[in-house]
Amino acid sequence: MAYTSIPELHERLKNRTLTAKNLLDIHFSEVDQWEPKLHASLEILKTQAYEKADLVDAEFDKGAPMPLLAGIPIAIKDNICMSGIKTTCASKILENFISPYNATVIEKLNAQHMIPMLKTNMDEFAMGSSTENSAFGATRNPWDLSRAPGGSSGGSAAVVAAGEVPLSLGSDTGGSIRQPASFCGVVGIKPTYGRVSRYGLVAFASSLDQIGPFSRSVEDGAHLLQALCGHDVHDATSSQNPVPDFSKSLTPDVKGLKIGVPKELFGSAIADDVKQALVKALDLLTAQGARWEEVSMGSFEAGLSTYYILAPAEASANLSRFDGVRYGHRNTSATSLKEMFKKSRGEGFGPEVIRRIILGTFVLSSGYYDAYYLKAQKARTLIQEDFKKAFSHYDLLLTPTAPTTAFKLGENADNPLAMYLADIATIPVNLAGLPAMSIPCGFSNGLPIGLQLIGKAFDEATMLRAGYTYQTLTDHHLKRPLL
Amino acid sequence: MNDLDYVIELAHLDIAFQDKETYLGQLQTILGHMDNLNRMDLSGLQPTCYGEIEAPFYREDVVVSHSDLSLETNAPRWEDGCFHVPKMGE
Repeated sequence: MAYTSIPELHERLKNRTLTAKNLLDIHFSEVDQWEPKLHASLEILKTQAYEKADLVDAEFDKGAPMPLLAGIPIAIKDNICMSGIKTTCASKILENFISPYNATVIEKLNAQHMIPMLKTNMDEFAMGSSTENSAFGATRNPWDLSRAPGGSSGGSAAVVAAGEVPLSLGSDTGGSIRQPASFCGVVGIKPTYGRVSRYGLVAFASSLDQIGPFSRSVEDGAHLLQALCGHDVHDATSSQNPVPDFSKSLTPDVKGLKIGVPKELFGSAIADDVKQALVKALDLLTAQGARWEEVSMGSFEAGLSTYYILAPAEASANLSRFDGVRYGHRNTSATSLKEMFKKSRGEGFGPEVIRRIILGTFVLSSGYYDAYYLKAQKARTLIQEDFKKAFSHYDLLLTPTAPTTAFKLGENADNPLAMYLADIATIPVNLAGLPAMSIPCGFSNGLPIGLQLIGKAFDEATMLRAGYTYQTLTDHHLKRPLL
Repeated sequence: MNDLDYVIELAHLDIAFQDKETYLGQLQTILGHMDNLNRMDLSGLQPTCYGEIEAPFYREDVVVSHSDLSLETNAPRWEDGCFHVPKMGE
């Protein structure tokens, strides 16, 4: 039952062969078994979840028409605000912060009568690719407990892979949904920038951040994405583009689809087992009538540098609000205001966050702004133009999601640059604001491999159709890790 | 190290000397990688701040009452309806 699809769960809830309370019992039982091994959750919302399940069951009992997602349990990354509940961002500085309001996405889940069960672990302030940067301890990969689940939304990916929940929410600034989805063998969707409101998402890099779903299948992910999208006046960057009916994309049809495969992401930086899995996936799609060609995206070379200038620059500004005055950790021995700022921040932030604040402050500082920040903004234009050129020829781009399968915990701990390279295929997508998703496309030595589909801006529909078609031909997404 | 100290001061951080040396080495490696931007032809390109930009929209300027912002709950120190902080000057 913990691995049942959303439409099937809905049918069973509707015909009352299953109650929302039963469904919670089943998933909390998975939580009890997995959490001591994974440490994927920071808070278990048991009381609230059962209270909500009672309300949902009462409506189903009355025979009231209920949305598809009603009564479905979900996990929420701990940088998304839920009223009256802690939002820690896996940071000591926000260890005891209680959110005074709901993020827009939480309001949208409430409108669907979904049931939040868990707040999930993450890299502190979403800065990282392994979830090792959590101030509350690393999360482990359910496929191999000695390995990282990816990051920064590693907790949200791990709980879906383990069957603790059918769905979860993550955030993606440079790959933080797609890379952990790849490492954990689940589907992770980053919508077009502006598709999903960022109101109530604790800001890391505002021009890049997007909230998106994790699921086990493209079909389930499309249903959750539908619920999340839409214009929001509370987010100045929220798009007013109409949201299509994504369920119409759930048809196995890729005939005539033109796929570009950037050759820069098929080079020596990508492991052979990953490349082999992608070639097999391309063969399958070709057999269904899709066509693919190699395409050159020269600007990808600038992706990592551009991102690690722009994202820390924005982060250094966004995180200046954490000063120990209004909320969060405060040093109590400081005798002046400035000393209190410095000590509170020095004690409250972990090493990766400090590293990025320093980097961001440096590239924005007088004398270095033109050499780094301005140059990176121009490189961002180059990357966007490269994507536009590619999409004048192709409907989709296909790349590996990550260069390798999940790496060992601690493997990159002392080498931040090596860790940053884990996002080499995902970062350009955020810089261009495009939609993309990772779907499982095979296994190597028992570890999942993910492929990334990148769509045109606001064309999640084509991406979902291709992903759905692929999953009708394969069973990688149906495999589950064993305890 | 002068640049690092200056930036640490600007960023309002307090970092132990031995940690500064670690950060300095790591940041030099990261900045070294960024040199690849200097090898690219970026002339004639306009800087970009966002991925997709749409026309701005406006919302009604309506006062919204927040009955409980949990200010007192989250404040490190709260006195007489205010955030209490150490003295700013002598």
